[in-house]
Amino acid sequence: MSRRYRFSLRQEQPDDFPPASPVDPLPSPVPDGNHGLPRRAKWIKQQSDKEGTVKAVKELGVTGVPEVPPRLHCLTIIGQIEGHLVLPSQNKTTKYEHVLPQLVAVEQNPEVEGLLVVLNTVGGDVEAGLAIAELLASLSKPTVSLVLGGGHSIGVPIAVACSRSFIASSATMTIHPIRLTGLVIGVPQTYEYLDKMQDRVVRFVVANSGITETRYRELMFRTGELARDIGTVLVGDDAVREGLINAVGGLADAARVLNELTVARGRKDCD
Amino acid sequence: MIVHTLYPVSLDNSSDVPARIELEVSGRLVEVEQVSPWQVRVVRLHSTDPNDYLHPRWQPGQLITMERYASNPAEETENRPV
Repeated sequence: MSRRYRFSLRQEQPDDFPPASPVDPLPSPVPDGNHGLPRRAKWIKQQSDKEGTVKAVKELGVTGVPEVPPRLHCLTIIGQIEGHLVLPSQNKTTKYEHVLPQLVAVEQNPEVEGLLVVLNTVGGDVEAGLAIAELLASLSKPTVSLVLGGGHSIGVPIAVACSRSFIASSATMTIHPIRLTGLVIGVPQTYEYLDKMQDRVVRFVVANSGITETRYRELMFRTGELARDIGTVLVGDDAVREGLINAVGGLADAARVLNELTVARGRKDCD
Repeated sequence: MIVHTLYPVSLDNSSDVPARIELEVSGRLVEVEQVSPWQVRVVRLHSTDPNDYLHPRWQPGQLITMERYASNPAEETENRPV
């Protein structure tokens, strides 16, 4: 299990980094009678003032980051969505104990005006996924989701929970029935419990997107599309055609729409 | 547990990936790997603030040293924190 420590920070660079770079040549002394010394001293002072930035550029290829609080925040939902059980450490996971407080912070922080949700997930725990989706759907600030790579299984409710949703043309969404891990007791109640759980997912997706329940179930139980499962793979445009996602697009589209939504909300608040 | 994922349940989970630690550094939650008793390496940053991801301090691979040991780590190895 992971543990929390409180560290104070001191950053270190690797020993062999950066590679030796040529030193900037000093300006040649000017023939002004004092061998150009004041100018030279001034030049050295200027260089040392600039040193912080110059060092950062040389060593890391970046300049200082402006400390302006951004209006729009970004949440990434990647890998497996981890819920009540901790997955082994080689799994890339999004943990609900990280995401839920972040969403609360986004809702509460007056400086944050909108949230961009970037998804590339294979799905995961049903209850954790639904918890994230419900929080996103009930957030009072504008949210825009962008599905990249894949937004499969329980990623579908998360993608449709946002005010607007986008999918990259190469991204896919797989819709298939939910599964039960561990001990399965072969009594009718087990099936009913599973069925009820599935209804929660279906109802959420239907309520938050343009797809009908009949159609969603049809896609979920379709045979002949997936090698080892029943279900459907929707590639980019298909998800839009089925009414799950609003549009095919990329980062620029998602950011533009999110900006428009935040501006519209700000205007409404002023009225 | 009820799951809704593409990954098969039977996926082999045995591995020797080093354990991750969650640290709070300057108010940010970072996931790190321990490289020495007084140093950890950033693996992942948990933040919704896009500016944090531009800051070199939080880039994956960056080393974070405990300040108490930063001056002369060699002397302090005896009393390292658990």
